[in-house]
Amino acid sequence: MELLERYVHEVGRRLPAKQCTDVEAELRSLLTDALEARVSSRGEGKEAISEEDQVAVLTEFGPPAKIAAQYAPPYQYLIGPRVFSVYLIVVAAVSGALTLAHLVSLVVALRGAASFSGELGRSLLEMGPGYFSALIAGLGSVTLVFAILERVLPTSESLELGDKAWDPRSLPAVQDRDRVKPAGLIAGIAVLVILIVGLNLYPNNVAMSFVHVSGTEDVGARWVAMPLLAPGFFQAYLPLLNIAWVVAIVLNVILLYQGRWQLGTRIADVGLSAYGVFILYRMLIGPPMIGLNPEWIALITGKVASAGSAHTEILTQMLARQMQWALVVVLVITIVDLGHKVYLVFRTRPGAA
Amino acid sequence: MTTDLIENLMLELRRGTLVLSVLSELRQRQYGYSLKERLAQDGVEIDQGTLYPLLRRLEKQGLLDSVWQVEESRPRRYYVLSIAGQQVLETMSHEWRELVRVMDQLLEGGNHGTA
Repeated sequence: MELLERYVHEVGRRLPAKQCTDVEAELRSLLTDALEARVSSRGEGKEAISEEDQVAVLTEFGPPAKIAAQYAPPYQYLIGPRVFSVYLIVVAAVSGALTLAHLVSLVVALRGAASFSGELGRSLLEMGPGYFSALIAGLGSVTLVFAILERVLPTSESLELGDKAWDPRSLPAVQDRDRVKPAGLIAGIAVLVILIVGLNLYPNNVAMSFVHVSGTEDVGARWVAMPLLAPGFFQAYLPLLNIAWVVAIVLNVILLYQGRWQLGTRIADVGLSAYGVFILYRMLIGPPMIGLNPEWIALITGKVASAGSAHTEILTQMLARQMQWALVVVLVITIVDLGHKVYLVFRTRPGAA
Repeated sequence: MTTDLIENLMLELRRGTLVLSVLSELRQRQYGYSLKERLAQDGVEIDQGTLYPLLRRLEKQGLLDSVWQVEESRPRRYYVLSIAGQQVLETMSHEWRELVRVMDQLLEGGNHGTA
């Protein structure tokens, strides 16, 4: 009875966590009762339940969003089950449009630029904060509109797409959230190994590369790489990061072996994310990670070392500010992710551990 | 247009009686599907998608008690009137009878007689 399970899952995912398991169990029982009564009226047993029977019963129940809205108390959510699916689509569309618009602006700025790398750096520095501001303003407006819709839409109405001709066969397959994807884990391990080896054994390779032209254009042109990371990064943060990466590799190996998320690995993952939040916070308030050498800057700008020093200070400050913004964004994302992981711990059945 | 209007008005009229119908059937404990069948046998047709969430709401309001019964072929949740629910049913039944009396009077021309 796959359609039945898909339906139950679709209703459940729109409900508050504390209500979800109980309503899912009752709904499963009620739907099975209705299906058995249907085949029994034809003089058949429950083994005769067909997909057509499931479609008929589920159609009678109505779209998952409507059922979930009936179960959920009104105004418990900022964005409730009746409008949530459409809200997600609009959020994706607005985010995509804003990203595309900024990318187009970037391309336009780069087309007329004399120096690609210089203009790229300047444009990215200028556009970074603007992009995040636009994203926050855009998504905030969308959320506000949908929160109002949630409150003014008559209780019998829903914004669910395809509501009028709802077909149970269109229900998405139930995703097994505890099943791990080996390809993703292997890729994760590879990236972590590269990070550990790269930063511990070849720290100077984390660098900004550019073509340096000395004298005339064709004479003495060569690729040079300017190290970016400050000594403070290797003293204050790298040991902490090494611990996190090694634990993450061990966790990924265990997951590869077990094939599924279990309570123990979920808790370990929460601990790892919490540790990640700690490291990010330390990076935000601690010594700077970026450290530029005045001699390198003098080399790039073609000025004497003293002028290079002034440029270095300005550039270091700009990069440090951008780095702080980036850290704030990553910190927020990591905290949200941590919350999601904590939720997954509570929804993991202890029996599965 | 007129048919739609009448259908909507009838729907509204029936909707007002749903809670009383459900409470009256739950003087004896029932699980969701058996309640739906009993209501249908007694002439009250109600969508399953409306009935089951309604049971939850009535339980949350303290008018119903519920318990999972796991001894049968599969687990079923049974509902029955709570003490508070019995009192509410009694009050609502009294109010309903009074309403029917008044409405009958109104529909028959009221105390003023027909012209």
